[in-house]
Amino acid sequence: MKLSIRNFAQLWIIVQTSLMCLTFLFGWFYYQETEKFNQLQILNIDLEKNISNIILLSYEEMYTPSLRTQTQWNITYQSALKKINDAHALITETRYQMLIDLLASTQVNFNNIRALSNQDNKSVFLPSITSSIYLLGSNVHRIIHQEVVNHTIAKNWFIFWLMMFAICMTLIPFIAYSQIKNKALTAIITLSESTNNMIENKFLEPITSKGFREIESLGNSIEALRTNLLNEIALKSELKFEIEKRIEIEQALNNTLEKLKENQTQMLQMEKLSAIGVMVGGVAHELNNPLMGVQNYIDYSIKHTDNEKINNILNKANAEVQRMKRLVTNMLIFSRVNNNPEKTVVNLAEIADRVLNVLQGEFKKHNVQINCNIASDISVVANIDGLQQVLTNLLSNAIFAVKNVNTPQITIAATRENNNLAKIIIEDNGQGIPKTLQHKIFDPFFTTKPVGEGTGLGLSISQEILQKTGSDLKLVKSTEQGTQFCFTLNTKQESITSTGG
Amino acid sequence: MKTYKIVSIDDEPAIRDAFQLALEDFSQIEVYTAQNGQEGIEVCNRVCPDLIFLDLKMPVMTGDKALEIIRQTHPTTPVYIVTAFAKEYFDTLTELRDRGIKFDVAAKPLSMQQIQEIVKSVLRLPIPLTY
Repeated sequence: MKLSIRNFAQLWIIVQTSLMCLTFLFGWFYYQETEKFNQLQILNIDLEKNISNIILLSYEEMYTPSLRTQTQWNITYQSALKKINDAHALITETRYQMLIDLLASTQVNFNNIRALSNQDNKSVFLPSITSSIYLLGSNVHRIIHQEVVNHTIAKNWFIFWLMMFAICMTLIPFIAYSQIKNKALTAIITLSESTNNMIENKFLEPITSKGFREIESLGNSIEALRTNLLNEIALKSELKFEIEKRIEIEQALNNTLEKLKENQTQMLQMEKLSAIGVMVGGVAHELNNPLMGVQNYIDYSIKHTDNEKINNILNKANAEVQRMKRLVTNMLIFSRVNNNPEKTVVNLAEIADRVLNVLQGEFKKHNVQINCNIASDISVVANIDGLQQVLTNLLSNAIFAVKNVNTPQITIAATRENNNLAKIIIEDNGQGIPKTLQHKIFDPFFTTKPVGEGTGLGLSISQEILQKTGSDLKLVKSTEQGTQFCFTLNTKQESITSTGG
Repeated sequence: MKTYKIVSIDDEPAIRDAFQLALEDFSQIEVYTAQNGQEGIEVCNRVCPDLIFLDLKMPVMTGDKALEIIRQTHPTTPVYIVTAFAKEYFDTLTELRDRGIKFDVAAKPLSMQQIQEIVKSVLRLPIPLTY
């Protein structure tokens, strides 16, 4: 049964007020009763007097009738009558009527006495008067007696009520106190502790509250708050999880973006080279015609002049034309690299020997010592022309690098790496490439060779050839002690995938 | 003495000059020129050459088309297609070969000496040539 504080207070007030009212009511009734009792007592006492006077006067009238006696008797009679009438409200109607009748009969008898002159006759009526008066008296006594009883009962009840009232008024504060203590004070304290517990236990345990309705209602509110909070917490951890996932995704995306940018840069580089290749190829082709023309004009002029000076000049012109032809050839090679060459399985040592053979003249010319450390059983997957071109280019560069060294040495070596790669190294003991230029060496048309001796296309072509086969040409190191280039090729064990054309 | 007729078909005047100058001193050789495929066909029909130097990239009619038509009337005359080696021409040349049209290829630029070598070997001229 859920008792609210308001109800409790109302109940308390009502109970107390009711008790007070009842007390007043009972008090009032008791007071009335006491008044009645007192008045009847007075009536009794007064009537006693009158009664005895009436009897005396009746006797007197009988034995010595006189006007004075009669007048006295009337006065007394009237007085008694008045008193009875005065007390009319206090007694029952029947009793009142009885008293009046009794009193009236005394008057009748008195009048009879007065009327008669014979004393013997008079004495007949005297006992009637006497008995009436005595009956009157006893009736009044009986009334009084009854009234005493009533009054005593009323008094007892009133005293009983007063005791109960006192007990109630004593108990009520204790009851009220205990109710308040349990249903309010303890309830609030419990609720407060429970709430603190809830906070400490991360809102996992439910709140219970017992007490006045308002407090239970407060408890329910806190409970609702708790479940809401739990939801919010769950939501928050979901969100956190979601955020973490998103961060992961973002990082993955960033990584992908980085890779894409790298790829894009690489592709741009390759496209640039491609574009340059195409343009260069176009220019080269266009140049072939005028070159042929000029060549033949010069040849003809040389053939048809005797003038030594003119001959010299024409020879110089011819040399320039040869230079142009070489440039055009290199440019065409550069542009041709964009095709997808076929790859085959070749013996690395054989190809290296071939290239070394072709360059033998140059080696001898510059006194270069060649060290070739290539195992004869290494077979690689490569395009023969491309590989030859790369080796030729690297070795030519090496020759140029060691030209002015005391004991020029060039080493070409190959080692197996992992299960399916071979690493080819070309090293020279030249003066090295300056650090500031090292990042430029693969740029097309970049050369450190003097004018007329290099096109600057060798390394860029070589790198492109290797990149197209999935490898890469790397400058491993370059110091004043020498320079080392390396690249890798797939060895025969790996199956030939369809990257070749 | 037999006269050999050589035709040079090329849209570039420098190339035509080159053949003319290279073979000018050979009294046995007469050099005729044409500017494009169409002209080349006319010249060949008029002259009946012993050797034709033919360029591929020409206006009005390209070399390969001209060669087709020339071969109809001169099936055995040696023809040297003088060109730069570009991939575009590879396909054309392969197609011609596939259709059984005979020709040789010489790469530009050709020096005077190279031109003379080709002429000498194709026409089987005795060495030395008389100037």
